[in-house]
Amino acid sequence: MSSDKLAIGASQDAAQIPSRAAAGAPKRGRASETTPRRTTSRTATDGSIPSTSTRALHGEMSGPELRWAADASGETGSFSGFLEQLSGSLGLGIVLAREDGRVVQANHIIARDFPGVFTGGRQFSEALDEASVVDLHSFSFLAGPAGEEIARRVLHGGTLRRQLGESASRKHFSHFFFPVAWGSESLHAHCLLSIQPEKQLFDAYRSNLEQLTSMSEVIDLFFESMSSGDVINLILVAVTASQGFGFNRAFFLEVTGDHLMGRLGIGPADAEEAHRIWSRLADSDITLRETLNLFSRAGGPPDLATQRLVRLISLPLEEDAAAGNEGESRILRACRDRRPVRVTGSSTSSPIDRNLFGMLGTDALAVVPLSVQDRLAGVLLADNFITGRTITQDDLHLLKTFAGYAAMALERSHLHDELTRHLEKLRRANHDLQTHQQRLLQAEKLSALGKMAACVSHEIRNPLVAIGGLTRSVLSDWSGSDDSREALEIVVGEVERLERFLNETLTFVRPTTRAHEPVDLVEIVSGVLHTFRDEIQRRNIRLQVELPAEPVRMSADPDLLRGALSNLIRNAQDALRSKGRMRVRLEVRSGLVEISVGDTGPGIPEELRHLIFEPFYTSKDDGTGIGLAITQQNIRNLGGNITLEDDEEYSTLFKIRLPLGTLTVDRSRE
Amino acid sequence: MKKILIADDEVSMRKLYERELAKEGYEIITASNGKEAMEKVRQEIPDLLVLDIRMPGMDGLHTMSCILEENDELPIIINSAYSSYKDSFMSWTADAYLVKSSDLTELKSTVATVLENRSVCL
Repeated sequence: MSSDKLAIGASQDAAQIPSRAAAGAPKRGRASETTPRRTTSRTATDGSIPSTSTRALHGEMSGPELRWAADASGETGSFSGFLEQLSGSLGLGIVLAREDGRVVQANHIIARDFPGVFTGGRQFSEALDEASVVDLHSFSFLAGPAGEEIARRVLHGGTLRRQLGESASRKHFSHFFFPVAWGSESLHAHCLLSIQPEKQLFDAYRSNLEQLTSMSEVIDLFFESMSSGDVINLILVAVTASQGFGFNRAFFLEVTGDHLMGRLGIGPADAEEAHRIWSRLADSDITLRETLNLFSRAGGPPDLATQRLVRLISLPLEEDAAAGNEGESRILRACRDRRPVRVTGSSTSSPIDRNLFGMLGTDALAVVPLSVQDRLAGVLLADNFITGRTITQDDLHLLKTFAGYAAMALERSHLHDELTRHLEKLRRANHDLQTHQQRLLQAEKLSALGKMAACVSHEIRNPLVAIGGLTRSVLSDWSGSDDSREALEIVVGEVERLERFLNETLTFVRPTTRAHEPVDLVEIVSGVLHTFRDEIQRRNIRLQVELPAEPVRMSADPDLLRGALSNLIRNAQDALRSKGRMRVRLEVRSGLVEISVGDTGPGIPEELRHLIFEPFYTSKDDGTGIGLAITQQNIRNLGGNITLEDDEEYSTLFKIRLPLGTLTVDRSRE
Repeated sequence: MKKILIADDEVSMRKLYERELAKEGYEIITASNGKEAMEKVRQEIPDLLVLDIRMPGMDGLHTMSCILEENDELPIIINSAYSSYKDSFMSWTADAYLVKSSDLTELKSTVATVLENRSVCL
C-alpha cells in the first residue's frame, strides 16, 4: 500500500478534501487498471493530465449533467479549466509541484491570496515560508513511512509544521497534498484551504482551557492557604497575574462594622511602573504559585503606592436614603445583590461610585462581592486602568465562579485565624501559669529561708552583741599588754564579720529600704579586692583588674554592692583553688555600669546553670547555698541585674549591670 | 543625771548596756521582762526606755503600748536583733528603732539625741 500513489493515506482527514470522490476509487492496485471508466476519462480530459487521480475525480463527477461549459462557446472546457472552477468555488488554493519540490503552476486562488509567491520553479516550502502560512495540520494522502518521507522532503526540509503562529499577520491554512501524474511525470498537488474561523475557535477553546487550568491551580492554592492574609493575597494575585485573570489592578475591601474598608491592593501605581514590572515578568516564566510564594516571603505585595491607596477606601454599607434611586451606588447595589457587575464611570451617577472612580483613577471596575451563605465577607474590585482593556461578560462570569471559591476560602481562613488566636492565647496562659508556678516555688523557698534565718539570726546575734560589745568595752579602757589588746581586737573584728553575715542574711529575708549615698564604684571594687588580695596571692591566682581611671559615681547602698562583689570574688577564688586566672572588670557603657567577675576554674555545668541563683543550691562542700541568692537580691535592690554569661576565655563569668541614673529600690521585683 | 531603763531578757545584754551607758554618764536601771519594765517605769520614772522586742511573756511592742497608755511622754528606743519589726506600725510610735550591734556607737548617739530632743520639747 505504501507504494500505491492512489491509495488514500490520510484516513479521516481525507474525507475533508474536495476530492471526496476519491474515496470511491479502489484502494488497491492501479486505478488505471481497475477502473472501468478508463476510456471515458481519457476522452473527458484534454489529455494533458492523464492522471489516475483526476480520472478518479472525474469518474465521480462524470455523468450527463457534468458536461461543464467552461466558456460561452459551449465547448467542453479543458480539465485545468474545470479544476480552476471547482477549486475557485471551494476557495481552495492549489499548487502543483514536482517531486523535488519545485513549483510548476498555481491556480488563481493562490495567485489572489499570495501574489507573486508561488511562482514557477520556486521551492514550494520556501514559498510557503514567505507566505507566512501557518498550518493547523498538514497531511498527505500517502500513508505510512513513504508518505511521511515525501512530506518531510517537500515541506520545510524535514519538519512538518504544526505550530500555531501567535502573530496576527500569519495566515492560517490547512495544507494537504496528493500525488498526481502528469504524463510521465509525477507531481504533487498541494492544496491550501483557509482555516481562519477554525483558528479563532481553536484560540477561544485554548484560552478557555488555560482559564480552566488557572482556576484549578487557584483552587488548589486556596486549599493550601490558611490565614486570611494568605487567602486575600492569593485572591489578588490570581486576579492580576497574567497566568490568572490578567487584570491590571485588584483591591480587596473587607466588611468592618458597617463599612467596607480597603485592606489590600495589588498592581502598579502608574503606566511607567506597569511597564517596568510587566516587562520584567514577561522574561520570567514564573507560575502563580511562585508569584504567591514571592509575596508571602516579602510579607505582602510590593506595590506600596497601591497599598496606600487601598487604605483610603471606606464605603458605608448602608446608603443614605436621600440618595434615591438616581444616585444609588451600583457598587453597593452589587454587594447587596451578591452579584458581580461591571460599573463604568458613565453608568453611575452615585457620588459614592464617582468618588471611588476618582480616587482610583479608573473609569471601569469589575465589582465582585464575596459572600458565604448570604453573609458578605468582602468585595473584590478589579480594573484595567493601564491597558484600558474592556471588562467583558466572560470576565464577570469567570470572576463569579472564582468568587465562590474565594469566599469559601476566606470564611475558612477567618475560622483558622480565630483558632490560631485562641491557641496562642492558651499557649500564653499556659506559659504564664508555669512562670507563676515557678515564682511561687521560689517565693516559698525564700519564705522558708526567711523563717530559718530570722530564727538563727536572733539566737546568734544576741550572744554576738554581748561578746563583741563587752570586748569593745574592755578594750576601750585597756591598760594591759599590747599582745592581749591585739587578741581582743581580733575578737571584735571576727564578731563584726559574723554580724555582717547576719545582716546580709536578714537583708535577704526582708529587704529594707536603706539610704542610698553617693559612692564611687571604682573605690568600692578596689576596696573589696583589697580584702581578698592576700588570699589571692597566697593561692597563686593571677588577678587581672580592669578599672576606669576616673571615679564612677552613683547613688547606692555601698554595703549591698560590697556584699554582692565579695560573694562573686570569693566564689571565683574558691573555684580556682591554687591556680588559674581571675579577672575583675568595671566598664561604663550607655548609662549602664557593668561589673564582671570571671575565673578560669572548672565552670558551671550546663544543666546546673539555671539553678545557681536558687537559695540553698550549692556546689561547695561547705557552702550554705545562699551566697548567689543574696548577691542577686542585693543587685536587684540596687535596681540592676546579674547574669551568668557564656564566655570563651572565662569558664565562669558573672556580669552585674547597674543603671547609672535612678537607683531607687524597686520593691515590685521581690 | 538622766535615768535610763534597760529592758532585755538576757543578762549579758543588760550587763553590756549598763556598763557602756554608765560610762556615758547616765544612771542605769534594768528590767528582765515586760511586766517588770512597766513596774520600773511607774516606780522609778526613768527619762528614757531602751526596749528589746523579743522577750518571754509580754513582748516589747506590747509592753510599749501598755507603758504609753500610762505615760505617753516617755521616750522609747527599740533595740532589737530583728530588723523586720521596723515595718510594724507599732514600732513607729517609738522614738528610734535600732538593730542590735556589738558596736554601741549608734546606740549611744541615738540615746543622746533622743534625750536632747525631749529636753528641748519639754
